[in-house]
Amino acid sequence: MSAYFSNDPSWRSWYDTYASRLLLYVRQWLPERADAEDAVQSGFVKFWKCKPHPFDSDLPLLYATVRCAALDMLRARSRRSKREQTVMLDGDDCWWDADTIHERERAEQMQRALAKLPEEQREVVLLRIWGELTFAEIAETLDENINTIAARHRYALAALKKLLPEECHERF
Amino acid sequence: MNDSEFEDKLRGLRPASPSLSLRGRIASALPERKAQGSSWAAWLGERILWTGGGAVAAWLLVMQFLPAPAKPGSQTASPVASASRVSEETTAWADGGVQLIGGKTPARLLHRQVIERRQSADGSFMVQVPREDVIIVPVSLH
Repeated sequence: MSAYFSNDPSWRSWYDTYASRLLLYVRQWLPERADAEDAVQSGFVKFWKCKPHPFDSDLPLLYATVRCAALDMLRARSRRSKREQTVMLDGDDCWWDADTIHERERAEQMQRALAKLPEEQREVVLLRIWGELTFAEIAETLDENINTIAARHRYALAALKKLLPEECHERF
Repeated sequence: MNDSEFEDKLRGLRPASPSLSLRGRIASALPERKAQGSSWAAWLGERILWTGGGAVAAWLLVMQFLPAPAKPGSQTASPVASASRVSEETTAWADGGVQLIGGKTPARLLHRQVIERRQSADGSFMVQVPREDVIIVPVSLH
């Protein structure tokens, strides 16, 4: 029966809502846009074939599936990882929309600050701030304790406040 | 600035949109949607097909182990019966005494109780059927 409904157009509404968030989330591992989009495609399609009628409560599964796809891709391309760390800071492509020079500057500062966070903190802050997931959903996505997630988030925010220039706090 | 305010400031940055090609690639990976009516018709047709097929299979299974109806004047076993091994065990005899059959023909009635065992051709299972035979032995009155 699922074969008849797996093509339900509602995947488009999920895509419209979450694609940019998923793309940002995986770019911490796959900074190049093309790689990140490959991971989003792989994870999203896999998720939708598994859950052709998803509920909001399936959102952690979507993130977890895309995360797996990204990490699989990262492992497959491990030889390139060092080079990509450099690209992460110097790449032309911003992780956030930046229409003006000021916005681009802010985006680059944020990108650099995030790159300096420990991976476990960076992942939580990306899911919480731009993925707009609750702590419970993040805990489910990462299969971690909710208190651990909340603590990582606090540490991440504290680190970002230090890493970002003071004037940026207001500008953001 | 507390954490909540700082979070709100960070959210001012909007994640970059994916390229247009990503949407197309996902669309091609997920098959195009059929019309709702035809999908329901196909769903219903599939259900009917499976239900009908199941009923036929169940009927064939039951028929395989039912005793074949005895044909008048025929002593040979049916092909279905011959495909399975049949054995029988007499458990009791009872003498019904001499009675008049049809009110005029004297005969002695013997009741034989039998357990009939039918084993499937592949030996996977066996069916036991209790049976009673009535044997009519003609007698002459003097």
